[in-house]
Amino acid sequence: MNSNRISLNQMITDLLQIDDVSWGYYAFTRELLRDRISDNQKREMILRSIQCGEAYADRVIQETGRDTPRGIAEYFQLRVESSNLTMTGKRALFAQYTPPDLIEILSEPIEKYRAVLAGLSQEEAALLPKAEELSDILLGHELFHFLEDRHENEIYTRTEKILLWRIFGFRNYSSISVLGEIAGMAFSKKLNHLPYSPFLLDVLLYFGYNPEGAKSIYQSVIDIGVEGLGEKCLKANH
Amino acid sequence: MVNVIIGIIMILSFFGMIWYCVKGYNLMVGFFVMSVFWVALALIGNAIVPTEAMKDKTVIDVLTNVFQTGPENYGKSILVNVFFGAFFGRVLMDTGIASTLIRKVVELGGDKPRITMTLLCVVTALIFTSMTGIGPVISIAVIVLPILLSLGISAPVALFSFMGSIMAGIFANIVNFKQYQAIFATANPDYASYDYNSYFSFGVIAMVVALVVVLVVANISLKRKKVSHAWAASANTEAVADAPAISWISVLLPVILVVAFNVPIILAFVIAALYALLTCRKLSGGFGEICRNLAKLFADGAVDVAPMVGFLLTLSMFNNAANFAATYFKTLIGGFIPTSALLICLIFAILTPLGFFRGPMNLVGCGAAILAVVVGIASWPVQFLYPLFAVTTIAPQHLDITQSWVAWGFGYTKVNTKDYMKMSIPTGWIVGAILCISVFFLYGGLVH
Repeated sequence: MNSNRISLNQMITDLLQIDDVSWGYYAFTRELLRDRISDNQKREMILRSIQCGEAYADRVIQETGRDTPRGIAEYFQLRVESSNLTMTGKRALFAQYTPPDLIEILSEPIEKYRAVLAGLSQEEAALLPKAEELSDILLGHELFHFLEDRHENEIYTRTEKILLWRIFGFRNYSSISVLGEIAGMAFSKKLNHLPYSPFLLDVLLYFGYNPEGAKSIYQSVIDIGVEGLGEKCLKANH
Repeated sequence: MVNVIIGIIMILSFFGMIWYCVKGYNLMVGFFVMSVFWVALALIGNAIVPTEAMKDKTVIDVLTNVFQTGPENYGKSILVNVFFGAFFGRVLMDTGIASTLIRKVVELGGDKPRITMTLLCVVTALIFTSMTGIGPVISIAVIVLPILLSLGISAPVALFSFMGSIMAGIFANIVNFKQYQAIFATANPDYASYDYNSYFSFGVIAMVVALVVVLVVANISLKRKKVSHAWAASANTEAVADAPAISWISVLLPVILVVAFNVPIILAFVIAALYALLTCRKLSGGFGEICRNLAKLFADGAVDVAPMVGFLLTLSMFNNAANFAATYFKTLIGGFIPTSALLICLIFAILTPLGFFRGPMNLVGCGAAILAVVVGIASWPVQFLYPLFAVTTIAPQHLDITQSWVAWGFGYTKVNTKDYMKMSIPTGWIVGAILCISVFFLYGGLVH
């Protein structure tokens, strides 16, 4: 248990140094169509998705006159429910939006996180986000998916497409689902005034289920940071 | 009167078996107990009113037939195929051919859940025309199910569509064909000549029909449950290199070799496995290493099917016991079994759900007894009777919660059995009904 404690704090300390673009690359490692997109395209897409998420956060605050995820959900009359859905294999579900108006925040990962926090000393726990904050972060992210559906004809995360194949003049394009995830994180970050990427919750919440699995997620993010993909990306953009 | 009482006790034991299956107890032990129970009842019945099935047989002869000859014949005719099929399944997994096919299909479908789900189901069905056993199913499931879930498809629909497409593939599966054919040969030795090539065209039709029904039901359920957007995390899995395109045909190679070139099944599996290993450059590193690798693949494959083998061997005892029990079933239900092709097809279509929970329409359940009764009623051509029983066995059984890999799927996805059965039972019934009617139109003319 002690080694896990040290590991979690160390992991979070390291991950707080990771920039949003590197987190975007991490998200792309989970994308089903990742092999169809070049590194340059990915770079461009990550940046535009972050901009899109931030812009929609400003836009929705302006439109609704509310600046909290709960307030915005209320404005759009969304049903925000606590759900006891659970882990599937190695996949831990934290929250989900089901059209047209249901957002489910899963209680199990937050409870597990609460238990992890309870096992830490006060100083160690102070470094980590409070369990109560997490549901707003999750809600913020899912709100973005609601907005994606609402603005699907214009929002970048839905209009950006890649060509999968063509045959006899027929072309099959696909949008890229990870762009919605990256933008959703930028949206939630801005809405919740977070100093870190909400992607951090992938490690934090997964830790409650499987510390070793959380370490493997941590390692893949750190590897991306070490490769400097995020930094390179930012330089290329400026 | 004695026959009627024994028949009623046997039918009650059917329900006991259904209860046993639903409770999730071990099927190998369950069928052994059923074999002992039925053969004991048949021996008691024969002691009171001698039966034709036990004429000129001592008690030891009967026991030998059930507990020795049954598993021996099964081992001779089936298990070797099962082992080589499992070896081939291991090759497809270890070379990365199966996972590559799945990834490529996802890249074709993109982020459209319905299209990608359809393509994944088609590939899964094709893969399971050659592969079988819980090991290969789990290996494919841990790739396919997370993809379906990440597309926003709800867990019950994802599980159902995956298991449904395996069921569709099993209709054309060579190993499964041999398994059921052996049960037929036990019921009537004349049926032993029926081969996979004779069945193949129906197997393909059945596979297509089953796949279409599964996809329609999955799409309707998807409409009801809606596609969701989930925030989920998963631990890293090691990236596997793509298998070369030239190797992909290996998935269908055993079927092609058997159907097009009349190659024996075991040789077809061996050739297909060697082709897969060769094209994926897994036959390198010197003779000693190749031998070690082949031995390991065979051993891993054997482990994959080990629980199934235990079950099949006690099932073979039960099949033989069912032959002695048939007299009593005939007394009770023989009068209700029609001898016309149309009527029997209609009855099978209506009673297909009795193939669930290893019930009396299911050859890998209590159906062996019904087969023995049906065979004793009239001289059915095997080309007609085999597809009929294959339908009421495969469609319900491979969607059923008593199927080992379906039970595993519940643990993996945490899907509620009720949510799953709302889709699986109607699907099994619809598939069964369509195909039973098809059997009448395709082969009903052979019945005289």
